[in-house]
Amino acid sequence: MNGASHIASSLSAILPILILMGTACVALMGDVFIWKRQRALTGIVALIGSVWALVVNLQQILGYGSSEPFSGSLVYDSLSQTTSLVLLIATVLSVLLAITYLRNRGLELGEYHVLLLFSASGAMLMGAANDLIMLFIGIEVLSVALYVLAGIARTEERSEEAAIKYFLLGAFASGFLLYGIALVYGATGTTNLQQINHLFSAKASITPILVAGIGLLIVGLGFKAALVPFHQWTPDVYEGAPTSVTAFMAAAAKVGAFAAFLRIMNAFMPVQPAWITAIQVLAILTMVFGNLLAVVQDNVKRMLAYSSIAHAGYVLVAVASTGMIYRHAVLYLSQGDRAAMFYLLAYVFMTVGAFGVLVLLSRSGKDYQTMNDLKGLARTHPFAAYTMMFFMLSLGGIPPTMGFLGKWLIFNAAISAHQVTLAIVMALASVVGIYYYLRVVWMMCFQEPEGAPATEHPVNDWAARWSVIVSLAGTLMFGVLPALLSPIMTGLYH
Amino acid sequence: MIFNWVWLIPALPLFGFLFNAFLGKRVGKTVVGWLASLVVLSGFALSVSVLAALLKLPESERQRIVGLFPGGVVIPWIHIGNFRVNYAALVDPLSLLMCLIVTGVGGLIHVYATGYMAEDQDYARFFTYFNLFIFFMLTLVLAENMLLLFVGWEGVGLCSYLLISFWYEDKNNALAGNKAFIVNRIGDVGFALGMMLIFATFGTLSFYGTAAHPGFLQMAARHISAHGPLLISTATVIGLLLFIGACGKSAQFPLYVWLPDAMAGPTPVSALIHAATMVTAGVVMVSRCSPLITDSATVMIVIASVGCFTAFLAASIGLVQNDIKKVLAYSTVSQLGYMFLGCGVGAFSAGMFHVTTHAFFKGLLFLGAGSVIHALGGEQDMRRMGGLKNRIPITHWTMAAAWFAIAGFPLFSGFWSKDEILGAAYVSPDAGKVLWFVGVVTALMTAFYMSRLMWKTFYTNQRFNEAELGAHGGHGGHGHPGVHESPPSMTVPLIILAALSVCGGFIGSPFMGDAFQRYLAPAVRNTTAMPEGITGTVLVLMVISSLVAVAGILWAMSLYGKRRETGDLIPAAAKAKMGPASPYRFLLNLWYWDALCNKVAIGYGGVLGNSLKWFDTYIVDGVVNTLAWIVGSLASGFRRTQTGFVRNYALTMLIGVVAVVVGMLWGSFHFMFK
Repeated sequence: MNGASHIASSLSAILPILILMGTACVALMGDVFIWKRQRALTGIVALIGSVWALVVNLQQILGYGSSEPFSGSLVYDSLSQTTSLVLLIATVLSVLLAITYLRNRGLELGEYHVLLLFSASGAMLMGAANDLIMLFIGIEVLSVALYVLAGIARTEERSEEAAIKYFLLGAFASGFLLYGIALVYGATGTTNLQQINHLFSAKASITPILVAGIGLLIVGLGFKAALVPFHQWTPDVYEGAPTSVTAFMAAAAKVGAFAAFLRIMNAFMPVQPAWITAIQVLAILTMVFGNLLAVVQDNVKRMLAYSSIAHAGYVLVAVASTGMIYRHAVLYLSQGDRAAMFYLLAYVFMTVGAFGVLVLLSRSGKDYQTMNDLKGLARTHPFAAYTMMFFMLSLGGIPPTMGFLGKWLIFNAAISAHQVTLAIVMALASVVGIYYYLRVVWMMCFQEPEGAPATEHPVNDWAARWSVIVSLAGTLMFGVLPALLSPIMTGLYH
Repeated sequence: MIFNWVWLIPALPLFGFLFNAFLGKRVGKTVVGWLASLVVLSGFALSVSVLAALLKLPESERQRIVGLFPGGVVIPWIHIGNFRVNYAALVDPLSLLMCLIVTGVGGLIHVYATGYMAEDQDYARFFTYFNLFIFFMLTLVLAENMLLLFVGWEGVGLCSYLLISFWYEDKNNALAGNKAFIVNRIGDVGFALGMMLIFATFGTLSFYGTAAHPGFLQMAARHISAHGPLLISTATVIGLLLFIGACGKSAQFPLYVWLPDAMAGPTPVSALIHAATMVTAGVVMVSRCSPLITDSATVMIVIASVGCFTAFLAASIGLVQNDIKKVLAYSTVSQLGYMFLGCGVGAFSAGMFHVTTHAFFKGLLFLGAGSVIHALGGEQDMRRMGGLKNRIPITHWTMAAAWFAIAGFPLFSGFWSKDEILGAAYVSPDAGKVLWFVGVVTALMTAFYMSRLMWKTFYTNQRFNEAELGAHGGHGGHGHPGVHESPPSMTVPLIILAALSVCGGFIGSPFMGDAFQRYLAPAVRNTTAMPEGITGTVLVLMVISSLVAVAGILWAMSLYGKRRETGDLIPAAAKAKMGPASPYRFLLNLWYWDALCNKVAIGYGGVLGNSLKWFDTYIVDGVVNTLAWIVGSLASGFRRTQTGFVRNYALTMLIGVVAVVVGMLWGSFHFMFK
């Protein structure tokens, strides 16, 4: 293949990312020079761009192609395409959430959507990275934008605090990641994941440098995915950041991190005994502590933050059961990988949906925060209460929702991969989870509203409402008919 | 291809349900009522065109499997290992027949309900449930496999519950709903167990399949299972379990007790759900599974005996009831018994024929009763009726048509179908003659209690005070006073159903060459049938049936004709003197069966329940609460690690990093230095 055509095919493979980045640039320029004060337009441009990217992404998926653009530094196969799909869905939903919310909170800044799109493209890059350096670039593009987004409410102390905490600890974690990459390079002489895999398949020896390198990679990604004990930033940042940012952050960072997790752990599959125990221990810690700590939270956003930690633990169970193979240049995903991707999509729908309900409920300048705020919501805001109920049921893993099916798929995959301990811990931890999810439902539906009814009604936010409706539709529809996903998530049913 | 549009038949009422559920309160009653009726009636139009297409096919090809998703593609609904269930419809003569009944009679009852419920404030909620019911009923009859059938089965049960307790402010209505739901659970356990056993035996839940992957009915017809030949004992157990399910849904002894109480719902509900469609689901299911059921002679004789006994029992109770809807309810139980008698002697076509005609005349009787109740401002007690013949003429004449039909008066629809069942019972082996005789006696009682109902309501002297109408509460009542004929939205469905009650039976009569039976033959497996044409035996049986029907009617006429004043055969003073063992008391107290159920189930069940409650409160809850307390204290302890200071977080991370790396190195020690 000659140079020009290679570049052309490379560019067409990463077209969704290019569209996102291009839209971000257009939105930024337009915001500064063209429609200066019409800030809602920036959101609409961002929405159009992300929907367009989603459509292109779907076309790619239905084209069943796979390629290795840019000399093998990226790889476009069912895994990265599905990751992109999940991320783009999260992006569309988050953009919808933010449009009116930002105005209500006096945060209507043009850079918001721009940063969101950049961040999303970084996460997509993580899913497609075939090279540790590309992975690092992806993580940084994702993270730097997220640091700024967390602090976008510049006048609020909590938001600033969140941004600084996130930034400091994130930089700390990036250091470990980079060090891990360096060690792996030192041990293998390459940063390309496929080459690493071939090397070990040819029975290269395990060295201390390599093991330490893998350990640091796990730590670096574990921070992004909020695994215990690298999780402590999560509740503070989720609580402090504006709710629409939290929704996106919870979804995108986790999806990107787990896509990278799957990719890297599979590259190191030949030396699985060296790392599997670490993953197992982290998974158990994450599931147990995430759920335990969520129980005692009185702030809904903090509760959801701990719940997102717990869900990271569930997905890590799937990572422990991974094992994809290339055969004739086609990627075959194992049960664990498919379960992970399915769960991530479920997670996006239910998490963005749950935060979306909080966005819907926010009044100008004030967020719904504590459990007490939710009392009697079914009476005062039936739409919000009943949609929230479904998201809670899904997060708790109760049929007929996607959350149930995803958990079941992971459970099944873990059993098939002989990770019986993980499966048992997962089941027990989920039981604890039911408590705090149902507590929200109980507060909303079985408690009388507290105090005088709010005089200030929430603004009729149609964009956010649609975001919540789509999330709900996804949660229920794919919970009842997962087969509908089969033509789309090619990796799922190959 | 019309078959690719079958998905619309259930999808239309589903749309109506969603629309009315979410927008019903905003759009006003007219839109709600029209939309709800239209979606069902267009389903009827669609069913007719599918039927036309099906009839063009040769008989052996009259069986199509089409998906229920838009476009008719077959998409797996559940696919786990070798357990595979499609969300698909089986289009064959049986399912289409039921589609026609459900959407046709159902559509008419929808139209009727727009008039009957016009004054109700929960109008939208009513039609929401009504459309949901139609959706589930269509899912039930169209289902391609047992599990999807079960979805519809449970769905109609839910709607039945919701509609029985529709006027839930009255506690008795809520209790009646509960009773129906709970009694049906008993049957459903049998159904579910039967379904599981089918899967365990045949490895599939589909009724029919391809040559490579046959459905369980095809396997049962060839006496094979997934593990070799099909054992008769297995077939017997499956058949009995399924029949327990059918007993619950179709109100057969001993599970019939919920149906009379179900009359607490609005009258259109009684007509649609508790007479014309849902309660026949058991008969439909048994007919659908006829290739399996007929494998076991034991199951067949059980079905026939239970059906026959139920028919007799319910008819005898119907003789003395005073609530007009209660009489019709026991009559429904009795007629359902006839249908099972037909199935049990191997004449499934005859059973289904009776399902069809019964839908016409029993739907009509309930709607007529509703019209009477409507006219009297909510009165249901026949002791306070009478003299309505000329006051509400359309209601009277249409009900009279249904009366002749159900009594089995010659040439009316019920005559043909009942005669078909009794004839099949007569020619069937074993105890056929006994079953036939009990059936004939029941027919006599049927003619009698229906005539009694007509006389008490229409022909005896007026026994109510017109000024007090509507004072008894009840929900048929509305603003305007005085006895009056119902609006056209109610009378037009009555007239259409009356026409069908009179003529609808000819499609299965020897005059039309038993067209109905020949139509249904490919879908069911009949083992007994009346000899075709009008031969000696057939003629004799027909004459006996006719005589019995006429005798029953004349007998009631002569008795009640002499007592026009009171409309009562036994004077009140005589009734008071009767002891609990006298036949009248015995029948009025429903053979004491309900009392016995209460005594055993509520009494002894209560003792068991209370002891379990103790175990639950102290042992189960104790363990759970202790565990929860431990979790709570652990969590409060760990909460302190979250200090809010970045330096502490960074330290925790660092400890984590060291632990991960050192742990991994330690763990990999033996790999590295073997």
